[in-house]
Amino acid sequence: MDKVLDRIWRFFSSVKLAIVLIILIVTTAIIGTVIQQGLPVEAYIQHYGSSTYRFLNFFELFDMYHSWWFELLLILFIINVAVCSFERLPAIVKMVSKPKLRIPVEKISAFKERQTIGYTGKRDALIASLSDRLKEIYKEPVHTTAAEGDFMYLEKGRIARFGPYVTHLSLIIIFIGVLIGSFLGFDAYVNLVPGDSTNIVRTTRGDRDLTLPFTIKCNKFHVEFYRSGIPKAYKSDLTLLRDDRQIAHKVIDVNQPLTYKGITIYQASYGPASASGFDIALTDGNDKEDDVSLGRNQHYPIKGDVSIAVLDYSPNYQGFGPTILVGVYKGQKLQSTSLYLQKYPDFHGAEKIEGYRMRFVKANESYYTGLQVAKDPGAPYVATGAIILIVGLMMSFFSYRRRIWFFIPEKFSGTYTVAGVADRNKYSFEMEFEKLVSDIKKGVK
Amino acid sequence: MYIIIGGHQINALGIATFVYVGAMFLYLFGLVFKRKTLDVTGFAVFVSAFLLETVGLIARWVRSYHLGYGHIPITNLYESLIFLSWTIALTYIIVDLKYKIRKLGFPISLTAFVFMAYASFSTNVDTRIEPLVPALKSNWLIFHVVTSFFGYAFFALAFGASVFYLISHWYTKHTNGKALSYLPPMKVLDDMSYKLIIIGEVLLAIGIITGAAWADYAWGRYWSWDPKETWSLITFLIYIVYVHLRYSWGWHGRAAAIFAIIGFLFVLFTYLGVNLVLSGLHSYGSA
Ligand code: HEM
Repeated sequence: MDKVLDRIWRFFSSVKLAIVLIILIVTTAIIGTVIQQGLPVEAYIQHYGSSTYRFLNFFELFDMYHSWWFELLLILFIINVAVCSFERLPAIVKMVSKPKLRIPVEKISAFKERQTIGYTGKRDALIASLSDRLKEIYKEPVHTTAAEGDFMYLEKGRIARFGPYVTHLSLIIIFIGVLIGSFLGFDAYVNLVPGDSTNIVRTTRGDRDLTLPFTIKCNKFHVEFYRSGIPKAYKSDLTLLRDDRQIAHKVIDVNQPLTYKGITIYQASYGPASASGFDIALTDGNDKEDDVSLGRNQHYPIKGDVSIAVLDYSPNYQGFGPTILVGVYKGQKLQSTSLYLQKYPDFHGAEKIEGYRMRFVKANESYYTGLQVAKDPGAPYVATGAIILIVGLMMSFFSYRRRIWFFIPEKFSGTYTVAGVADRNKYSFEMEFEKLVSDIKKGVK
Repeated sequence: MYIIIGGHQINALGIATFVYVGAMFLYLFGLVFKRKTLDVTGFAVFVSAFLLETVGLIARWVRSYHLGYGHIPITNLYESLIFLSWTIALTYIIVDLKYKIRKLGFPISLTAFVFMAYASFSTNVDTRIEPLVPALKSNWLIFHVVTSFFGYAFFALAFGASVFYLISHWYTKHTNGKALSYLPPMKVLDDMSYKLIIIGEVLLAIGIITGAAWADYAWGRYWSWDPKETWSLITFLIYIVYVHLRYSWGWHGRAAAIFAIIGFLFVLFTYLGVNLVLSGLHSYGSA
């Protein structure tokens, strides 16, 4: 049993596994950007045909970031990070807390960065002035004495050794935050026409109804457009009620949500409410115009059994401004449709419906407000993890540990040795080492 | 964008595009004829192009206020291409002042020119100043775009250094160990490429996180696997693999250079490919 556990542990402590997992995650994540996610089933069947659809759906490729196998990959990855770090951390702590103050003399020749420096004075004078000089230009050395001679140990960038562990820890914190969010949070939406209120919202994933601990009432909704028809701002005036008592009130805007007891209400979208009205002017060629106001799909009789109705509306149809789609009916049967542009009343020229010319005056639009209602108790953990991630990356990358030993032999014969090693950034260290040696040669004579 | 000098309209960005071409040729001659003066002149011309581009960007920014929109010029494909060439140019100038890698001037001025020319002449790209939809009116937008773009710029420079590394490597192999005299030594290029990548990686991480923070403020969802988000995460992971290969397995030199070049293809796809090939939420998607 212990053996099995041991093998599992070893499996998860490998960096090789990490690289394999990352490559798997990357490859599968790409699939999810190529196949559009979360469209209605009909759209997929139309695009792929039903047998391909069934095949892709079997692997949950239409919601693949939430599929069991993708989530499994992520979980394996997090276990990998945790085990890998846990395994190595004690050694690192020991290594850092008990630095090697001396190195075996016969190993010095194995260091890539090393130099033998001549000194003409007395051994004691050398030790004293070397120590002073190092303190001045590099760092205070740790001086130890052994049978073979004196050592001076210098170390910089120790913190970089912990960088990877801080980074890996941050990933675990983020992961915990994501888990909390997915178990205890929700993400839902609701559309409200001004004046309406509700305490039921619909979840974005899974399409379930959720009952909120309060009622949202939309008092007003306001949308403003640029001249080109692009929306400039949209805002909802909301009140939250509990037992008919007002518990919160705010005008929310995109990027300016309302939060109450951990539940946040965002201004997400808007759309035309069914009760929109359209002003239309009809003239039969004489100078008198009839002004008519019509709701969407509401029929207006022109003559005999011929009637018209506004079927659709666009606030900016292909850049031509507000436009309605009008259908002409004979009895209940749709005969023809055509577009009427508010800005270009002559678009239809002399074309007439049963002798009448028609002009689209304006839309009295009313909109519904699209609200997103979300709760994510994991978000603060994710945010904390994200900050720690950045700190960890900076600790790892913008510093590196390097160690230097000066060795002054007991049997001093006019030369001493210096050797150094860096965990990373060998090239930068080479420069640093050369500079230090030349400063010492100049300064310690 | 036009600025008015003495009653004349001057298109600063248009001129900057051609000044970059000038710098590019000077650098190219510098590489071919191995004259230091050419490199120095190239750098001076490059800096002038950069300053002109800066003026052009500021003029565009000011103009957006006159039009009543008032937003930083990084919100559609045209502006983002110009801004990316600007961040690459600035990053190169800073890195050059610190590390003296003037030889990178050639690929960098070529890149700056290509981005600006593509922005100005491609029929795919709309040069008008557009108002912002409400979701984009956020300070997070600025943090998010600026950090991500500087991340891209560092990756671009690392890409340049890695290409130089491979050229040097190839040359050395075919001349029995003679080094290519007009490029920096190979170990310098290798080290530089790595350092540029880790700076790019930190910036990209900050870019992803500020993007997520913004999405959380605007939509209550910090992550929604939108293609752009997903691809920037993928790019981040690719470079994390690079970091681990280098640190834990000691990859360097040719293998690392090839990896850095592949990594940059991911950057390019994240920046352009996602918008031109895939569909998503980002603003310059419908260029
Ligand atoms: C997105 C995921 C990951 C990130 C952001 C990350 C980040 C880092 C960073 C920044 C370093 C320092 C490298 C350097 O200083 O050059 C590092 C080192 C390391 N990473 Fe990761 N890592 C990730 C995943 C993993 C995984 C899954 C493993 C599991 C095997 C792993 C194992 C290691 C090891 C063994 C080191 C060397 C640590 C040392 O020697 O002190 N990493 N990681």
